[in-house]
Amino acid sequence: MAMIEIRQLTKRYNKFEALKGIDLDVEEGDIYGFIGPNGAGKTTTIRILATLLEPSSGSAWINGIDVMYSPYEIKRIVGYMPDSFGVYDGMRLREYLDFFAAAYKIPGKRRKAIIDDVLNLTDLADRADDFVSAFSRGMKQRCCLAKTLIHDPKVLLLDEPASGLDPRARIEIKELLKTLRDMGKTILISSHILSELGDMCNKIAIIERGELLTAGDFQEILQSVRQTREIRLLVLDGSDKAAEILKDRPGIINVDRSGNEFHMESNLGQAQLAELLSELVQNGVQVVFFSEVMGTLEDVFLHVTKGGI
Amino acid sequence: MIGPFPSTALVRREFLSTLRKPRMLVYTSLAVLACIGGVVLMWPSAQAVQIVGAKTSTVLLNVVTVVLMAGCGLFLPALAATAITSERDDETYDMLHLSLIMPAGMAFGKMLNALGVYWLLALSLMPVLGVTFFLVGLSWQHVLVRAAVIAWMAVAIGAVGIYCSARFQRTVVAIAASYFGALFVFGIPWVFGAAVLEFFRIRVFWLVEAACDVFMLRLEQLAVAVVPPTIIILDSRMPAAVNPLGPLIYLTLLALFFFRLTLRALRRPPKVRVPKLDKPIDDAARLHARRKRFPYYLIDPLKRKKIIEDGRNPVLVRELRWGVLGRMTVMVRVFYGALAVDWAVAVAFMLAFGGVGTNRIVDATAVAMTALTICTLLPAPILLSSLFVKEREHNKIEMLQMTLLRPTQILMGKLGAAAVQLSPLVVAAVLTSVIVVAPFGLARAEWENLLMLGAGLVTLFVCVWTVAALSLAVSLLARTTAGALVETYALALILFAGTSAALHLALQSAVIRRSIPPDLRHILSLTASSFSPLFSYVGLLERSRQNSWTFWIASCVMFILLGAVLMLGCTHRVNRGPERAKRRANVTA
Repeated sequence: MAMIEIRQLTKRYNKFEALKGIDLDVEEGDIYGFIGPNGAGKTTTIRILATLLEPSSGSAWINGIDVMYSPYEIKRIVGYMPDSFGVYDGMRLREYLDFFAAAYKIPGKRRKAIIDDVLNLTDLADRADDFVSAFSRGMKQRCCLAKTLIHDPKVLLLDEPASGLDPRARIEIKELLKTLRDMGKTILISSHILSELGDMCNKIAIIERGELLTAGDFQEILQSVRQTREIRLLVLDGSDKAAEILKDRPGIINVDRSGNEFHMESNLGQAQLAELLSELVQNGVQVVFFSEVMGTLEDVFLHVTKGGI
Repeated sequence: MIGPFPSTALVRREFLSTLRKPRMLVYTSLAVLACIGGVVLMWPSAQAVQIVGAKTSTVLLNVVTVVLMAGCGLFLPALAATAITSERDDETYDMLHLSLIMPAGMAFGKMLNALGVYWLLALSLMPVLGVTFFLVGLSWQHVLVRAAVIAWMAVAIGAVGIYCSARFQRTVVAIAASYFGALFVFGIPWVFGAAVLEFFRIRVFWLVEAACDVFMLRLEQLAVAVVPPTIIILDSRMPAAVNPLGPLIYLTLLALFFFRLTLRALRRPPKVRVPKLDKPIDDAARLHARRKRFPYYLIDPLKRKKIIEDGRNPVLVRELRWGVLGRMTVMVRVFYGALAVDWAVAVAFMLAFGGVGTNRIVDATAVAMTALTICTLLPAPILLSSLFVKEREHNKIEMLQMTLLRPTQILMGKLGAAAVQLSPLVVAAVLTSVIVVAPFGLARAEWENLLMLGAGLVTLFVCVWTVAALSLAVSLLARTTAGALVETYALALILFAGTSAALHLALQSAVIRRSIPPDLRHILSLTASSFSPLFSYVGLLERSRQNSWTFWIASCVMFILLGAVLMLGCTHRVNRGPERAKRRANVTA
């Protein structure tokens, strides 16, 4: 059974249809990237899953629990980090976490140990006595993540967790999410910054104008999107000879030469590529690199989406 | 294009967009309908036109003036005070400061936005008021003077509000300062002026009646110059003595003074909030040493707070420890301020209406208790209306909703905070009533007075409960603190005065007076009073009326229930229950 199950989820705001009957399955232990341009419906979906919004129609379950009918049970197993959030003035970080721990009904005796664990996990232990309102944006993001983790939820719904962060803070958040994945959490993370999701998510869903365009395993989607392989060839000497070999060779399409560097699209298999490489070497071409350029999330996104809002 | 006058961009963004909102239509329609209702109800019968027509037209003019001035005093301070602080809250102030809009343009644009809606509302009432010319007795100069004083009063109050908005960083502080400023500049002198005039009239000048009139006239002219609302008193009694130049000069000087202060505040670079970096102190000896100094014997912010105990409502604990009690020094100041105002008001009313030598001690008690209740209710929305809306403005309400707290827990936490926040005001009012008001009755051994005092205290608590519930409900629905404040004041005005006053007005209209027998009119009058606990409380004074105590009790019960219903509505709102329940019902079907 999927940890998160969404069926024909629709949300209308008056005449505007923010979600147009989307279906999605997120398995336990997945880091699921929920990608789309601004206004695509990512936050709406996440807020429905977090029980903060009622769908117009359709259903959603988390761990088999219906989000519409059992919100209280959902809150026990879900940690939600909104894209923008406030902090309470005059509260220190430990007090802030203590407040949310009490709000999640964690007994006082266990609270201190849990708060210490969460502070260590989010690397905030040495800031425990600082006022949260004095934190930088990155620190506030971590603080909110610490609050989200305080009741040890099975599922994390993270809405743009790294937006507005500097590169170091982004990398740290990424590492933290990987740690959480290793702890067995299921994470649904929304973002429109593709580079931040590419090397972190094992599955992705792309949404645009309220419609789910594609969803599933990242590598499978990538392969389905790219019908050809992109090969990069860098030679030290013999570039003319290399150009001659590549020209009019069956299976090689669109060779793009820039000095000693070649980029080509190919529909050759592994064995044929090996043959090509050995032919180049046998003809005296000094090969520095002969490698396949791996597809990125940007490729998938640009291929799948149409643009516009 | 920004154009030659740089604030055009601001005016276009704020004022014109405000006018386009559907709620503007609602506000204008309500104001015009109320005005039409007033005119229709007060219109004399055909036979009476010649006799009372002129008087009615003056009364109508006074009613509209009072309504517009009250609206000006209640709504403008909040609207003006949030003009610049809202930019700070939205983090757009720096961008505005960096633009080519000059401070004068910014202040003008913000001022026009705050005043424009009010002026338009006032203008929309003019055609209706113009109908009263048919009754004869009003000159166009009369109406013009009133309109000028009202418009200038709005400018002056707006200038005070805009200055507070530019001067203070936090919205709630700016709003509170704006109301206090407006009260200081207009309200308190008026109350004192009225009380002093009454005192002089009753106590002193009956001795030298001939000298009295001249002296009183000069005093009243001075009062009009300093406190424009008194123009109504003087204008009604001695129209020839009214010189509009005085109030207009006073208001212009006031507006210019505050406008100048606003420019100075806006020219300064935006302030950066310095983060608090103090660590908590765990050393007991150091804490003990600090406790000897003010304000640490009240509360020491560096003392490490205990964890929230099991079984306690975290929202209430947070509101108390980090909210209300965390600002203990502010609470103490509010208490002293409220006590000073309450004592001054109570002493003024008791001396004016119920001093030794007269037989109106019960009247004085009723008036003083009503004034104390109003003094307690007026600042209440400022303290309460940000309770939920602030959470919403900073996207914190969702984080609360996502926890395992039940909606009732969230609401009870906020209600508890509301009770504690209101406690300085209520305690000050109760202390004043016991220490200042009660002794007058005890000195005269009038036990009825104690009964009236007790009823006054009950009325006070009923009103406070209703206003607290109303403030919380509006705070939950409103999007901004300023909106919440204005809407709370408007609804409170309708609840505590508007409905009852309108019904009384209707009962006094010629058509109804003719068609209803006196007995039924008496019952209907009591019923009309019971739509406001304050009206029904004052109605207890009329001993000729039977059943007035029954109607007062009914009024109190009705308002307690109203508060309860509002709280219930709040619970549903926090839970978003109705929508969920409806959906469940649909699915089951």
